[in-house]
Amino acid sequence: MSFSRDLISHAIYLAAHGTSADGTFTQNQQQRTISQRRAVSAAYYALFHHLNGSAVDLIAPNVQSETNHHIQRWFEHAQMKKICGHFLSTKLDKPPLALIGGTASTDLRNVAQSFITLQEARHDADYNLSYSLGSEEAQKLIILALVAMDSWDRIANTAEANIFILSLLMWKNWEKER
Amino acid sequence: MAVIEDQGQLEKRAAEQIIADTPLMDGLESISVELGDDHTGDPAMWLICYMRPDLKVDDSWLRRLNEYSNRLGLKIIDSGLTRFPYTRLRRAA
Repeated sequence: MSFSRDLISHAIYLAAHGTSADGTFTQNQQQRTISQRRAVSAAYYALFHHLNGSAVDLIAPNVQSETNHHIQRWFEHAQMKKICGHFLSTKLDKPPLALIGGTASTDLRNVAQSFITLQEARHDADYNLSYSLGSEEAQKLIILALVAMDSWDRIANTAEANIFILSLLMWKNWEKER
Repeated sequence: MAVIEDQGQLEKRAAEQIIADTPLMDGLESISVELGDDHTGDPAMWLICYMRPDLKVDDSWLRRLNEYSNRLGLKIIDSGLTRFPYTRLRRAA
């Protein structure tokens, strides 16, 4: 199983941590909240690494895995969020307009929207102690990541996915064309 | 500053209208809109989805809720509003 799928399994484990099969609690509320926060963080990183792993497969297919891991660190969270926003609009602007046409597919829009949502949730889960995170919210976010990963797998070998990945790294260069 | 606040209120009202025009998903009691900035400092809005107090939540319902809230979010984005719509889930009192 891939690292990103393992992270989803870990998120599911964490979200259920402290609750027995019959729904009774084996941990106190604060311990369960900590587990749920870690679960949301793992769900975000599952999608993050799923996209980055796919990106490295595309741009450096012949590079050994140890070097691949260095390349994956080129991707920057805030920049990825910004690029996802560019692919959400119904009418794409340049440069994707010139490269893939007027609009992104439903699957790519789902990936972009889910990535932005999960990044914000992960930030709240890790840093915002006033963030009230219920177990249902944590489960919802794990499912969001899982569905977004499935959406990505359906389009990973398409032109728009290639352009999306290149955008993550090259948007600043492409802005000269805007 | 007042202009930014006015713009935010305009976007909030527009989002509330889109929500009012969209059939509410089963299991939800209401959706409210809150304004703020996200962690990168971008102006954003939060769609607070209130579940019915007695609702039994399972994965199937959460999956449908994600589809519903993603569709709602895209309607808001496609309408030209600039604030990204984040979704939060809470149980109604």
